[in-house]
Parts: sequence; C-alpha cells; structure tokens
Amino acid sequence: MSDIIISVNDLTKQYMKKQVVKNVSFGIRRGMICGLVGPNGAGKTTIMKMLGGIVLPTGGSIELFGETDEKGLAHSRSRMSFMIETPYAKANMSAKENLEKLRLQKGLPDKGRIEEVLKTVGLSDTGSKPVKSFSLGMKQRLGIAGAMLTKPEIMVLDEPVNGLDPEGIVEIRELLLKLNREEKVTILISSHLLGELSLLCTDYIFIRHGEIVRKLSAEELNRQCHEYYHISTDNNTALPAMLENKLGIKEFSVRKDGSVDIYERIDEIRLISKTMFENGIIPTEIHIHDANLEEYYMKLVGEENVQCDEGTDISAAEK
Amino acid sequence: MFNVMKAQIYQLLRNRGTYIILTIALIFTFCVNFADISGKNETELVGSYVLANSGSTNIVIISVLLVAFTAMVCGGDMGDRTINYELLAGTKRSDVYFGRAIVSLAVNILFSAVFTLLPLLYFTLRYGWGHTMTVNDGLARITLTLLPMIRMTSFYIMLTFLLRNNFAVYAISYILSMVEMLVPAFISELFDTTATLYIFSMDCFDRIMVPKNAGLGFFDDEDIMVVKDVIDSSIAYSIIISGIVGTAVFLLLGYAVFRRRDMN
Repeated sequence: MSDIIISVNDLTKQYMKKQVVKNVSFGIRRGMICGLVGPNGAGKTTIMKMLGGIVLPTGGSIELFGETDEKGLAHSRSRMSFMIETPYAKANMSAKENLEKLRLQKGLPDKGRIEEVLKTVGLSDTGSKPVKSFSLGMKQRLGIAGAMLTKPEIMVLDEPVNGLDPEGIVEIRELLLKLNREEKVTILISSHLLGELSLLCTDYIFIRHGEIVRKLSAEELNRQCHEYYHISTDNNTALPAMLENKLGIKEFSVRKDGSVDIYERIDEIRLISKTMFENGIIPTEIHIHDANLEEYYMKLVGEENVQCDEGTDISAAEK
Repeated sequence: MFNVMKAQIYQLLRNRGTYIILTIALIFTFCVNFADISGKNETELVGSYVLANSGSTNIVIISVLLVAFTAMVCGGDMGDRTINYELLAGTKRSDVYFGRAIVSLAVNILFSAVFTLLPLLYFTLRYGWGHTMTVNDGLARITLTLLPMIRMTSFYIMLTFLLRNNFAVYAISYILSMVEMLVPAFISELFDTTATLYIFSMDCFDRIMVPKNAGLGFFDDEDIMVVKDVIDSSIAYSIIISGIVGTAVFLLLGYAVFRRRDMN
C-alpha cells in the first residue's frame, strides 16, 4: 500500500471568473502533520473543502487512500475527520446531543465514545447547556470532539486553535501530537499562528493567491529559519558563482542588489571570507541574521514576493 | 441513508420548533372542530358530516404543516451548515438528499394523518359515521389526498435545497398559497378543465376534500346534509398522475441542484 494517503493533482477552483485555487498539487504521507500556511484568502479553506467534498473542484483530481471516483472518495472520507471554518453545531442542542446526532449520522455503534471524547476535550461537565451559550473556544473543542468521534486515520483541521486561550492552545496541541504519535493519525492543519504550527508540523505547504509557493519539511524550514549570513561585496555579480564553484554552497539566495544570504555552513565564515579574498572579492558587509518563522512566512507569501519557489516536493520525495 | 434518517429524526425530536408547530396545529384543529359544538345538532357531529365540512380548514392546517416540517428537516441543517459534516463524513450526496426527503415525507404523512383522522375518529366514535357520505367515499377522498400532499412536499423539498434558507421558503410558500387559492378558482370559473390539477396541488386538495355539490336529503325521518358529488374518475386519474409525475420531477430537480452545488 502506498504511503501517500492524500494526493492532489492540478486542483483548481474557479468562482465565476476568479480562480481561487490554481493547479495545486501535493501529497500527504501517512503519519505527517502537514501545515497549510498562507494569508487570508489564499485558498487554504477551499482546498480543505474540496478534500471534504463540500466544494466541487473545477479541475484536477483528488485521491484519498488511493480512491479517485465519487463512491470511493465518499468511502475514504468516512476514514477521515474534518473541522473546517467555525465548528458548526446545533445551537439549541447540548454538546452531548450534538455528538449523539453525529454518532447516529455516522452509524457508530459505540455510545460510550461520546463521553470519552467530551472528556478528552474538557467538555464533559457541560451537561445540558445549549451550544449557543458556549464560548468560541468551547465550540472549537466541540468541533475537535466531533472530529475525534470516529477514530479517524486523517484529521483535516482548519484553524483549530482559533479563539482558544493559551492554556487551551497547549491542550489542543498536546492532544494532536498525542493522536499523531500514539494513534498514528495523519493531520492536515491550517493556522495563522505560525509559531504554534512550528511546534506541531512535520511538513509545510505555503500557499498564496491560490498557488503553492513552497513545500518543505520541518527540517528544511528550521534550517532556513535559523541563522544565515548576509554578505555584500565590491563585486556582487561574481559572488554567487564563486560560492557555488569554489565552496560548493548551494543554499543561498541573491537579493535585488546582488548581495547574498547564505543558509548553510554557518560555522565556516572564516573559510568563506578567506576564499572570497583569494578570488579578489572584497566583502563590504557581513552580518549574521537570525530569521524566525514569521519572517520567513512574510518573505515567502508577503505581497512583495512574487517568485514561486518549488522547494522540495514532499510528495515527490516519497514517490 | 438510514443513518441520515435516524439522525434527522433524533434532531426533530429535540427541536423545540417541532413541539411549537404541533401545539399550534393542535390548538387550531381543536378550535375549528370544537368551537361551536354546543350549537350543533347530532347530525352535524357525525364523522361523515365532519369530514365533508372540515376539508377547507384541513387544507390550511396541512399545507402549513407541510411547509414547516419540510423546511425544518431539509433546511434546518443548511442554515447553520451542519449539513456539511454529513458530506465531510463521507455520506453520499444522494443519501444526504433522499434521507431528508424521506423523513420529510414520512413526517408530513404522519402529522397530516393525525390532524385529519384525530377529530374524525373522535366524532365517529362518539356520534357515529352518519349518512353525509359513505365510508368508502370518505376513505377514497382521504387516500387520494396523499398524492397531492406528497407532490407538495416534494416541491418544498426542491425549493428548500434550492434556496437553502427556511425563511425564504416560508415567505415563498405564503405567496404561493395565495396564488394557489386564487388562480385555480379563477380558471375554473372560465373553463371546465382538469389542467389546474397538474399545476396546483391545492386544487387537488380542494377538489377531493371540499365537496361542491351537497344538499339536504331525507333519511330516517330527518333532513340531513348529503354529499351528492362523487369523485369523477378523470379527476382521480389526473390527481394520481400529476401526483406521481410531479413528485418525481420535483425530487429529481432538487437532487440535480444539490448534487453539483458547492456547500460554502
């Protein structure tokens, strides 16, 4: 059996004349916690809705657990759980009644599971209190409880920690990590809280204006978000070729003014400087820079960035 | 589909709206049937007389019940988008749609039967059936109303899936009920036609449940009200055909809309 359990190829969604998702392709391996990262309106929720079958793609294909036809996709979705946008629940019914309705609708025989998941998300003491009197955080927890009801193999969560207090965020994070580690649940999660995502995800998909701008693993992201050297010289045009040919440095980027950011061999600055001098390139500015995830995000999906960088294809890596 | 139906019934039983609508309908039925009971003689309280005379009020109660419960079952989960969870859980769109359609039809048939038969049963048990119409004629009329009722429910199922808003369905149903009351009557004045039966469900109800030709008859030394018109076979066939065709068309149209619709 293939390790890729979600595969999306050239997925497109168009509303009237506006394309909100443009030829998106990615694969999710079993066991991954994949973060779907992007600004508002980037197309994250639409992608999740297409995976869930509530929005129909205009083009492209979706493969879930190897199934691509309508019947197979519907069956595959029964092995998944979704929480998309604000968790929806019947306002006049209690948390337990909402889950009971969900249990009946999913045809689950185990009534005891409701108490179990309510306890897990900390809503077991809400009794007959109607959901309309719940805080947003409580509704989020109820949504997660609903997603956990079936013991899914994949959870697709859209902004699951929105509205939660810091304590709640930690609890949900620990819960998701536990589900991933102990029950091998694969998770596709979107969030604006990038710092929070960095504590969870094994892989990332950065999306902007409906297009994937980069796919990379947590290791790659960490490497790119850690220290890097910014070097400017009297001969910036010769610098990239020298770094590649003389030092074998490949992970660097060239800024508009020709200066260079080097992401690898951070501890070899002496050697880099020496090689530059030997090749007649005199550094005019060298300084170490410590980028964080937010900075990286802004650099990647911010309005000024127009370059599409494929990075490492996380699905291709597996294939 | 069975799971969707079970979940819908569970939800309906826990919905305060269900009990409010039923209570109002019960009060209305009680008032209509029992308000001036003391002023009536016994021949006006027998089952057949009650059936012959309660048609027009029953039409109103039943059509309100049909709209209310159809919108509640089919549209209740669309307003708050909880219907999305059924699709996300891998339930096929056909099951989501037809599961609700079946529950709507079942609930409407059940409650319509209750509100039609309950007063009828009471008066028949207490005062007897009487001679205003035969038992067979009464049963035929009640049975025939099932088809326009199913057709009307199917129309509102389609409308609810089309509009996805209960209040819009209520508003349109109100306007349509006015149209359905006035237009067939107007057409009937001008032409002798059964064409209106194919377009207006209310006209079907009206022709079955509201006898047009009733007069005094002499029976057991007493003048009693007797229904003289029998249901014409061409009208009965028209009602049956329009009921079946209309139900199929409305349900399939509703499904065609829902099947390819984004549930944003």
